[in-house]
Amino acid sequence: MLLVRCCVGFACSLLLACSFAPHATPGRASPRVDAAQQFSGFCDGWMKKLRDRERTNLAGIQLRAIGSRVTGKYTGYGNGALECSARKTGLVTTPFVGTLIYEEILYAKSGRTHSRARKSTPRALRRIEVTELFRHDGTRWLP
Amino acid sequence: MRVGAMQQGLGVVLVITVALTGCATPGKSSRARFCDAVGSLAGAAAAGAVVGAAAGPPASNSDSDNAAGNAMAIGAAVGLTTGAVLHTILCNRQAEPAPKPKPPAVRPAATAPEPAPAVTKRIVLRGVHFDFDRAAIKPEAEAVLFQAAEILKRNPELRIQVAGYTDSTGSAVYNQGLSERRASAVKGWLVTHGIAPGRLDSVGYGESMPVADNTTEAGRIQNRRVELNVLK
Repeated sequence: MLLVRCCVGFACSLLLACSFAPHATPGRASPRVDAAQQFSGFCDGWMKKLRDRERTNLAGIQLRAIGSRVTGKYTGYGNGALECSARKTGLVTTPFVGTLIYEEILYAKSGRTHSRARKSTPRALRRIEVTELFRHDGTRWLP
Repeated sequence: MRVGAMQQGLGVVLVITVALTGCATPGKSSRARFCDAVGSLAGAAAAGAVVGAAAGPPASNSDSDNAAGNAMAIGAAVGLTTGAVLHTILCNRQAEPAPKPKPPAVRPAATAPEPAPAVTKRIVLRGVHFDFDRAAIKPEAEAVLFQAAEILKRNPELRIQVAGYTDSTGSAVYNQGLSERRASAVKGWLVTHGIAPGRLDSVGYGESMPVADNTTEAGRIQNRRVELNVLK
């Protein structure tokens, strides 16, 4: 009889303990996975900033008359990231590093008049493959 | 009369010969030679006509010799002059420079493919910032440098310029030196971690190439940076 009571008491305490234990929410990743997933959004945000910068550069293009042509240059960026990946480092101060690769393009616009130069299709003069290395400080990706 | 006629004929032949000889310049084109011949023959024909008309039938034998001699002289002179004039007119017109050889065919620009722009590379070390007035690499920056060193090891053909930059705080001269020290610090770190020193150059650009606003602290942090420019 004593043994039975002990077993029941043990089972009850076990159930009680289980009911207060924090649940492992299904679908919620660990902080480590979070950092890697966050980096994808970080890349998207970074590329958006670059597109904004390209628009600003284009709006402020300095056109100059050279001979019978009017020409101007500005810096733009390729469509989207060529690579966006993050990996664990094993370091406490920087648990993750992220790699973002994209294309930086020097464009030229030209025409016989300022108006035509502005409306002309940009021509790529130079392409630079830019690799940006970011670090995660344990809480966020640092720009 | 017969002797006179022969002399006249001789005069005509002489004129033709003189005219043809004058035109027969070596190296002339067949077209030019044709023009010379036409000019000469025309001159000779004109000369013959003039001579024939001017000399007329001789009155006597003795007069005939004189007349024949005069006719030959006149024929020669008129033929020479006429030939020369015709030659000048015809041959000079023909003596225009030969047309230049056709230039090699050039493909229309619209269809010619544009050469691909040269592609270079740049590695931006975003996490590698420095404390104010310091060139020492912070421990937290090392993870990014390890990543950069890995890229360089995977691409042993790349030569790298390690470029250091500062914010705009302080004098330009001082910042120039500071940027050089930062570039040197990163170069030294990379060499220590297995990158051949011969692949690396270091250079400082001072405060001359900011990437962010120097009026904010966040911007100044961005500007205190090091980039790796691929030299190929």
